[in-house]
Amino acid sequence: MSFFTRSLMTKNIKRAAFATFVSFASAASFNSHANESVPASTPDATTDLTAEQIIKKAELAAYYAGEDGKSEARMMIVDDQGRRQTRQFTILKKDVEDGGDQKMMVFFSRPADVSGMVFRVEKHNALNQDDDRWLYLPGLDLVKRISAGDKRTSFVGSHFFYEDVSGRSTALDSFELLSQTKDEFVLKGTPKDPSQVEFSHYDVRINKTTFIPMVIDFYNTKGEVYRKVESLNVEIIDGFPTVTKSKISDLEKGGYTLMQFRGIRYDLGMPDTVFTERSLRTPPLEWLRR
Amino acid sequence: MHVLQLGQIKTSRVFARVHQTSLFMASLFVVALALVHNNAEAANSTKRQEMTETSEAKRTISSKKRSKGIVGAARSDESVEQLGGELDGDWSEEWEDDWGSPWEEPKSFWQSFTGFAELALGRRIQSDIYQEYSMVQEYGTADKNVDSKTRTDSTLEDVRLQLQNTYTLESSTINFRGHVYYDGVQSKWQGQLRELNWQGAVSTQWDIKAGQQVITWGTGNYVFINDMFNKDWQSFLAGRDDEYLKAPQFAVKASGYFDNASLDLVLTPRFSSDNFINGEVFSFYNPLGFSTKKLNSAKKPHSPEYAVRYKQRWDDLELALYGYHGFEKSPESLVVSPNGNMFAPSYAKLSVFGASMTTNFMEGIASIEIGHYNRSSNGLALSQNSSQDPNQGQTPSMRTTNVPTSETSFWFTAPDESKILFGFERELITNLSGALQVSYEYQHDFDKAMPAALQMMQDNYELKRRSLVTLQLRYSALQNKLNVDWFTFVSPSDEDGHTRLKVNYKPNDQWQYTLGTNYFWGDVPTTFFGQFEKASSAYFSVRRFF
Repeated sequence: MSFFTRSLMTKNIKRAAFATFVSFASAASFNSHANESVPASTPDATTDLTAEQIIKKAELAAYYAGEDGKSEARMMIVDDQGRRQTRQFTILKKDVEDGGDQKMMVFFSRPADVSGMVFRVEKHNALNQDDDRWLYLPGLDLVKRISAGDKRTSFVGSHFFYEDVSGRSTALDSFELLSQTKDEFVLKGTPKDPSQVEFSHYDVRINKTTFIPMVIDFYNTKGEVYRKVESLNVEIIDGFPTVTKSKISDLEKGGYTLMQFRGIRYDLGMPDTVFTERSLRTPPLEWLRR
Repeated sequence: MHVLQLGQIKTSRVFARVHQTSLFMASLFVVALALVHNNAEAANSTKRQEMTETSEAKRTISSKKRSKGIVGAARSDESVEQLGGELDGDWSEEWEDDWGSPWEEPKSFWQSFTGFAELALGRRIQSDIYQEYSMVQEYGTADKNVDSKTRTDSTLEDVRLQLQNTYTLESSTINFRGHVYYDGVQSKWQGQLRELNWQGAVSTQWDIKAGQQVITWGTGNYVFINDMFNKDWQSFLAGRDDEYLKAPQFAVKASGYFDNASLDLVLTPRFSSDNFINGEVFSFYNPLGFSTKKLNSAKKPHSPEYAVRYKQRWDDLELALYGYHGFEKSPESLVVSPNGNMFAPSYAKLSVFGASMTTNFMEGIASIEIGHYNRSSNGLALSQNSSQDPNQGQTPSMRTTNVPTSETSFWFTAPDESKILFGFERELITNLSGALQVSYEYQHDFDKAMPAALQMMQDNYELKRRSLVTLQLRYSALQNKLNVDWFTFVSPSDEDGHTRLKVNYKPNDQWQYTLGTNYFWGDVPTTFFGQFEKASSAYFSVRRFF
């Protein structure tokens, strides 16, 4: 979701990618280069925004579109030698409040060894409250709680982290507006507590029209970009700009994860009961159907 | 650990003979897998090449469309519709350029079977004399119980096919998962229906899952206090995948969900036991000298088992209460007729009450679980069974021809036990997580209950209390393609232990290779892990998913 916001905030780059994930942004299409083709329709007013205001708007745009939402998603995980793994799943999400807590369920369908696995997150935006996360393993009928310390652990083998899925509070970083073009704001995010993260800072390019983060570059202490998150496609779905295709690249070790979304729908009116342990064990068919 | 607790009657070392088999079959399987793999790789690589060749052209088209799309997206609702139409039209084309394959679309039920084929081989690290000579150790009788086909040098020789599928009805599902395998160690075909059940909502708050199913609850990892659902300890020792440690049972589970609380009621209409260590393949300490045959033929109660869990949640704190009423999951007790005609392993009635608490703590997950075990009689002594009505009273509701119908038989069961387990798990550094468990078990009124004779038979082994510490380290690398799991049990009270090391490599979505070893140690064969010292093994498996 917010893609960015949270992600960026995340200790590591990977998380950033997540925003995309969450927001299941949709696809319409533009890649970062396509941005340039965006009409120069940016309202001048946005230039008056402070960095904090911009990042908040980006967070809302990337992670909090709609009161609830649904998307099919798939990931292609490619390592430095070009070997591929895939994952296919359906995401349901619901906001407790805009810019605040969120609930999410991820139902895996492929490949065979993760089919039936369900991931559940209750994201808490308060700085002093860890997210609650559970994993359901159907082979064992086991509901396993996942510790908050595993935030930077790979999410089902991808270059995304668990925290990318649930997001990271924008309050963990401070932001400054580095520059702006006709179409984009360029912000620099610096962690307030550098000991908690692996990056020294990151630059994020935010589309002035949609407020969707289009590119995030994470820098290491040597000043090199070692991880990159890109929104490759953005579509307007149910009135919300949505990332439908994103990519996270590990520039240090090589390898990347591509994520695509489809079947995105917002404001379905899903009840809170969908986002409980019940759905871990008994998939809510009504909301998983296309 | 309930696990190994095979009981106060530490069973014995029994066992088997050699029989050479199925390596040939295994070899064939490997060759077949390799052929399939090569063909698939070749096909993939051809496909990828074609994709690469065409992707540039497609990309050009795509980027034109994208430019058009973004303009529309940014500008007006009208163009949104346009975008939608465009997407519908070239959904697969759009993705195939990067992906090399279209989305996996829903297929018909018959096309939707997934699963894997597997070959698994395990060898004993040291020979087991009891298996080689089919002998019953200690006070045993010379009952040549063992299947003469059982091999003694191998602990695992499986050629397996597992399938799963789900049939979706209007608002419910029928789930299937099962496997068949040729067990080369025992030279026989085995099959197990792990799931064949109906699952759905019957009201706004209640779900039912009825049929063959695997059920799990509780907080422990390999240590079970309140989880009285079926286990397969033979698979656990052999090094089969953890999935098989949990054995299925035919049951009806009703789950009610309320505000921050849930209630699970499980009825197993007819008792079913664990697949306990009975001397087949793995020997165990058996002071009473029961043969495998005798253990296997212990009459199982026909009565139901009942299990219940109530779970309540306050923010990140989860509290659960558990209850179980049924029978020992392995024949740990003895039933003796007064005239001594019968002296048989038996399943005593058992009730378990417990609770658990789980919470976030120090960036990890902390948990506590307690349980109290109450067997049909208090203590290893003597509960009388009025055989006039064996389905009533304190003993298992079994009817066995061995039980004299006109006399009173005696039950020897373990005393009441209390168990407590502390657990803490967290990530230590990126991709390396650690989990520590400490458990303590105490038998009440043990000295009073334990007949002197039986105490002597236990070779001074302290049965009254048992402490156990487990440490698990899990490391993951290469986008989870490589996973190392090292789990160790150490019992300070018994001075024995067990360590399990497993390295798992899954280079792609189709193939998985596993290498592992299970090692046991102990100074004497009378302790829980000590008795399995000769069961130490190393194993390898390869899986092809489809």
